[in-house]
Amino acid sequence: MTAATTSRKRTHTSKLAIESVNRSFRSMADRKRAKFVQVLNDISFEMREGEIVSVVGLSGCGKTTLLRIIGGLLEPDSGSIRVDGTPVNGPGSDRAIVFQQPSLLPWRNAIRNVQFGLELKHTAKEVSTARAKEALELVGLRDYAQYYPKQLSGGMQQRVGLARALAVDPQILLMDEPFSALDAQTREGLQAELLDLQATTKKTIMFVTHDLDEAIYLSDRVLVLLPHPGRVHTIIEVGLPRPRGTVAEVKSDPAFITARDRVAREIRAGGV
Amino acid sequence: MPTQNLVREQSPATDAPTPEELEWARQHRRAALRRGSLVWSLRLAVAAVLLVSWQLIGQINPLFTSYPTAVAAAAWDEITSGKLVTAIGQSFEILSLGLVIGVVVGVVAGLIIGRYALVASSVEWIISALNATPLLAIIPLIIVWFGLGLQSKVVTVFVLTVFSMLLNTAAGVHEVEQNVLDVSRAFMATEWQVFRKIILPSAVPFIMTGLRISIGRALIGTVAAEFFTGISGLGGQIQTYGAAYETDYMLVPVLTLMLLGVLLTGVARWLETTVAPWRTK
Repeated sequence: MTAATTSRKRTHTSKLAIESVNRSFRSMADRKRAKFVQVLNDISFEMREGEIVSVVGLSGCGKTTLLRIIGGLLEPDSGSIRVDGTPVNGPGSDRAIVFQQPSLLPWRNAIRNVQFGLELKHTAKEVSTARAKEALELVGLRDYAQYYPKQLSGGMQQRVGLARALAVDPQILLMDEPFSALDAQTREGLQAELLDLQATTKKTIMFVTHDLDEAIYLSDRVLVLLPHPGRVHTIIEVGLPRPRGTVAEVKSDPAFITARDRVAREIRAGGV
Repeated sequence: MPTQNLVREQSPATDAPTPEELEWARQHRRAALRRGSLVWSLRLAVAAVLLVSWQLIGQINPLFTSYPTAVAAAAWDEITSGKLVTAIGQSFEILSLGLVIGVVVGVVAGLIIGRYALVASSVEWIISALNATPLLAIIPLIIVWFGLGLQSKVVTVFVLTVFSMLLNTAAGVHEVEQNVLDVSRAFMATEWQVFRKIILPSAVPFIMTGLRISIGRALIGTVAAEFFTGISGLGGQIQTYGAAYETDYMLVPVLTLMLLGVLLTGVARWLETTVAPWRTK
């Protein structure tokens, strides 16, 4: 497939388009000298509707910075972000973020945490309760609506965070290493659940991770960034059909192994 | 209140205790009871020793410390004559008015100072300085401004409580997780929503700690203000009886204040755990 190279001309079909995004951080190295660090250099890529794209790269390649720029939490120095061809500036309800930490409000139970985003938009109580229940159902926590974050395991907390993002019904889900703080079993379970969830909701998902297995298993394409400054190295088609089985099943698939080797090689290609 | 058990992936099990567990629980309860009764008998013993020595030593010269039976008689007299209740009422009015105003002003100012770094850096130095000042020293000044009535007493209590409320609230605001603020930004929360739905609830445990500290200071402020200004309330009684060398009568309001302090601090402690149950580990 050559979608990666041809999609540039078909801008109108892309769900999310990142065009020449640059970003640097400025700080004082000492009392007199300033230090500018270019974190992102001329980042451009596009995502189709309903696609899952993972962003991988060594630390310092600006994965999280890129996600925060797309989410509207950071401003790019230059370049633009388009959703459905319309430039976006700052946060918006078309995008929702799931962070590495669940970042729940400890004084609210699960369902009230899920309702948080809807509440801020002054959604009618009945509507927001119904949507929150639906979102909790989607992440498999129907029976835990009344539980407080402290009473839930790490994996369940992260699912509440995911439900909170889903409840506002965003078009694009931005996930920043959401499973990296969990143990291996929980992580694999949640990865499979995320695929199921995407199959039902058809969300477009950008997934930042440093776990290559996770990136290949979840994604249609993997975006490889190189560090110092963060730049797009290549985009790799995973070429595994959907729906996919469990992590264990997919891992032994030759196509998985090929894609994994390729991504690992490309990451190293940039050198350190 | 939420249950404390940590729920795992499977639904909570409803397992009945085994006979061994029942037996162990019984023994455990019994041991706890034994220990509890031992602690309480020791406490009573300490109290008895103290009271008896006070009684014996106090009788040598009642002017210095008086003695328990004399104080008890004085307390009975004060209670039955209604003087004590009146004094408590007067003091409590000052204490509660000053404390409420101090808490409200302290919390609001603390939220603002905690949230906006520029406001903090422009005023925090003076607040720290004032907090470190023994503010009882400015009571004469307060009297010059507000006279000898209720006003200056309430102002004294306010001045003594507001800074600890403010500093604790501001500390609570600093404790808010950046992650949570990012989430609310991503959901496009307005500044008012951030205050009401995130910052204020996050700061509640700290506000409660501030309240507990402030109650102690408010009591000091009440008594001190009553010393300096019109003779009323518990402080006024202490002043009057002290000047008349009636030590037994003087100790009644002192002990009342002690009781009041223990009681109010207990309430604040209870509030600390009840209002923010998510904090307790």
